[in-house]
Amino acid sequence: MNKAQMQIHWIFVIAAGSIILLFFFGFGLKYKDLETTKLNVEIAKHIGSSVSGLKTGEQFKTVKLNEKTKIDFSCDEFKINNDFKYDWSENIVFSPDAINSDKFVVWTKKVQLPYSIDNIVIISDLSQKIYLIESEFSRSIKSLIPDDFTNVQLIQFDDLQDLNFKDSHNVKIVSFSESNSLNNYKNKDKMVYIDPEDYGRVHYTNEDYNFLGKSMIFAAIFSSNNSYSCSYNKLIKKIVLITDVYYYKARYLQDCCSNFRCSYANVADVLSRFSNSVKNTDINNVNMVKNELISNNEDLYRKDCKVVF
Amino acid sequence: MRRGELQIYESVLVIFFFILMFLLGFIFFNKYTVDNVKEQALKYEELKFQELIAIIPSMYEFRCSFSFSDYECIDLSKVWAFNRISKDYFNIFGYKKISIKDVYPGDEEEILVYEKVPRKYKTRRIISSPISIYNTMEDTYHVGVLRIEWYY
Repeated sequence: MNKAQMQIHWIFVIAAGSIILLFFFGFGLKYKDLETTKLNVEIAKHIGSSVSGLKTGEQFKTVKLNEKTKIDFSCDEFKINNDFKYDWSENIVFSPDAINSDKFVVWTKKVQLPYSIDNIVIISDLSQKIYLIESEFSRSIKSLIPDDFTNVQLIQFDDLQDLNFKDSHNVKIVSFSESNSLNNYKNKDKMVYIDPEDYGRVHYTNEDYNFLGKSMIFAAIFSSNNSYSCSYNKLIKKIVLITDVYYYKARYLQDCCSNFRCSYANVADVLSRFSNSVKNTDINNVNMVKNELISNNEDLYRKDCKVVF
Repeated sequence: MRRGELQIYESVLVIFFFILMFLLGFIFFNKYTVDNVKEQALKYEELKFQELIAIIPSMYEFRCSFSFSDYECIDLSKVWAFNRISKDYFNIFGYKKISIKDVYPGDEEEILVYEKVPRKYKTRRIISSPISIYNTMEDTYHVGVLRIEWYY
């Protein structure tokens, strides 16, 4: 073999060897990706079925995963390890924007306005410390939070100033009074003020939202600004849909079962007004029409008529 | 042709053959990967389909409610009412047909809850489960069967 032939021989060996190596490298990478995706799908399915199981009532559960997992939550889906997206648009979920942990708590709470609307899903990252500034209202709220939420703690407003917020990216402060000024606290996007009422305003740093009922107070405590904003809109749509179901039920009862004692026309009218108030997010009016609905339904019950809800 | 040239052509041919073999291997492996991911996606869809049989009876859109309390049964007057707004539930139910059959002591009458059937579909899967149904008009409870058909 002369020199030129030797060179060609070596070029051939290098080229063929590189192709074989590249192939095995590519094969290995693809196989790893596939296995990772499979694992992520399994994690997503585990989380999805845990939540679906809890949604049948008001329950809570600590979801444990085999390893530390990054979960990014958005309004209609969650993403496991930046890879697999799991759609759960049927759920109204109030959660932090992301969790990077091997366990978190899921709590399903019924929203009743005055009839049952949905069991909302509240998710909390146990590594996020949540401080409720102590007041009579916050004590009553804290007593209603299940013990599994080990990350929630009551704190005196004065003690808060002394706290070392080294790890402030994982701290959230909830106050039920705007007189507790937290202007000195640097990480303002982790602060939330909630009106100490059954319905009112939730005030995140730059945005205000409404809440209707205690369940939404819990939702505001545990969720991020983005999550609250989006899921609140989903909940409003759901309230309108359920109200429409009761509106048509009232019309059905008017057709089938009304008599000189039992008339459903009035309830149907109030339900229609209730739906409009919810759409316009006029919470004072929502509360007023809600009370009117309750009294109409109780009136039907007293008259021994079939009730609407 | 000289012997050296012949060897060069031979080497090029071998490299070409190698590339072809690996490309084919890669294409087959890629297809296997895609099929695997599709299978996972289908399994996930199937899980969601099977979950529906437990979710629907607990949905407040259908569930019996009397004086602010909810009971484990499906209120037929709510089903009738839901029919009027069912188109808003496509994002939850998708391409499915959901119906309730009044089994006992009824006359096996089928009550449609939701229906959205695609023009073309490869296959259809059906699951059913016994439920308690409440007839508002007669004020009676019947035994029914909740049936969900999934088209894909």
